[in-house]
Amino acid sequence: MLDGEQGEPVRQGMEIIVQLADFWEAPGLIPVRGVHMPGASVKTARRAGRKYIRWCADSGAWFVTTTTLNPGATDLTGIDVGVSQTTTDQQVEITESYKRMGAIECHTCTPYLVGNLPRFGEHVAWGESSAVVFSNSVLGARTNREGGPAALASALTGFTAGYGMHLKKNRMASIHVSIEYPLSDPSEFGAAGYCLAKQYPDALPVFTGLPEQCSMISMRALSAALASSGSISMFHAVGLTPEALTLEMATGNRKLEKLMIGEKELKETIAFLDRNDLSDVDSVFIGCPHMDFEEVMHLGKLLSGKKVSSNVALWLYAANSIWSSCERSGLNQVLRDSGAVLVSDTCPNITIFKEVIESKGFKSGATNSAKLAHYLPSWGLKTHFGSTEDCIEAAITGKWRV
Amino acid sequence: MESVVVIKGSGVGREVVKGPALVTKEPISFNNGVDPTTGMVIEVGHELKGQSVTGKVLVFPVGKGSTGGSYVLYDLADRGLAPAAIVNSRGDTVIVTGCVMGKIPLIHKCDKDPVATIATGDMVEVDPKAGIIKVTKRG
Repeated sequence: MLDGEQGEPVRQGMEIIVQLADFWEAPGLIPVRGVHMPGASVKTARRAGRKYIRWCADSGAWFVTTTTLNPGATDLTGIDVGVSQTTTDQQVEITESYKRMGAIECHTCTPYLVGNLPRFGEHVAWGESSAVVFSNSVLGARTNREGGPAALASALTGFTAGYGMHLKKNRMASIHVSIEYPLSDPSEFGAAGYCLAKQYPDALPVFTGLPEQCSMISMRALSAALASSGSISMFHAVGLTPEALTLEMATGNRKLEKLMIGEKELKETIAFLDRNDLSDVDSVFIGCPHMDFEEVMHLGKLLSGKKVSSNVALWLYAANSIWSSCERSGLNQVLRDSGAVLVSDTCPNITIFKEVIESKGFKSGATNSAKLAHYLPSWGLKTHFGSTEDCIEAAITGKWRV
Repeated sequence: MESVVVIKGSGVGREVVKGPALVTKEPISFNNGVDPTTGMVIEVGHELKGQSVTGKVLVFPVGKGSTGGSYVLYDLADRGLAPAAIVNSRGDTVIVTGCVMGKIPLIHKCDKDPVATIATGDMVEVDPKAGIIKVTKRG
């Protein structure tokens, strides 16, 4: 590949992988069969990325891995999410370039829900920080946090540089986090993760004290939060994640610093993330990370027979294939009857949110996602943070916790 | 009187290039920190703000910021506005990747700290294949 017989994009891809391996002093290159592609949005690829991806496609390059796309800047099924025609056109160009190289057009941050599911111990090259944490931690697959160009290089070559999280020795816990509060709503899992990552942004935590029966929704909320207030790539949860059947297995029998997160720390974090002094709410965002069936069904129950306030936009985010199955099950109709908007392919973090705010006139938002509550204020929207029930109540009444 | 200092490091790229040095002790983020349409450093508060990186041997300790920076290096090269070469004390994933994509010669992991050894305005020859930097000091 390095001598260019497979074309210039593959040659450059291989050179990137070899240089990264060299730079990180990796023992070698590792073959991968799965890539999840960040840099799939106008916002993350920007003009330069759009050009580079197009050049790769124009050169006739072809992905040798199963390659799924992270969310883009708009809903490509035609739901109006308030971005400009220019942004839409640019998004179509990026998506088409990736598709010409063989990518799966799923535009979701939860590739493992739609058919890109690595087995335990499998090496992959994934971007999207919440998916990276979920993959390493809950699935036990191995990936570094890949940026757009490196993930593209892996998709073109079928290799990744074997450093960091690919090596067992780097997957041991560095801090013991004892949760001393019965977490239940996913927003509380998000807050607990946020609390830890804010203090230890590049730790590898092992959690004890999480409820035995916690849902995948909670695991995803925790994964997303750990990667938003910090740059954490993996966590262990004793008895819940596959590389932590016991505490000793996760720590490698080492004595670790211990951090307690109890009711006080949790409440403080929730209050910190609830950064909105307005009691009126005009927009509610649920589905960061994108929702699974359990979440959609839960929302169906909460919204059945109810009406979203005419002053509020309730936007629900999931992968298009999740919505397709829910459509056939009649769930989408229940949600639409309430006034909710069912969005595919995008999310507030990865769209051009300034355009959304301007065209929709949003001034006061709410979400149950710690990751969104972390980012939305930087994109210009005051945001409340609370449980799923708090958010749905706000969507119906137009008020935050009246 | 001119004097020549040689620095050895690890190189990316093939082409031997020569250019005037532009040196900063601050890390550079190409994503949002350098304008790909002008080649100017635009990061507020950066000591190189307002200076052009085009055609320079750009010397800085390490990259910072998001992986989109790799694409900005590619874009600069595509527009003919890239640095002639980059020399890093430590280097990082974003810079290494961007230099491969933009075919910008890079030397990093040097035996002498390039930020301390090279001064802005020195004439620098970079041979990435050999991993050698020749610095011609002024005066």
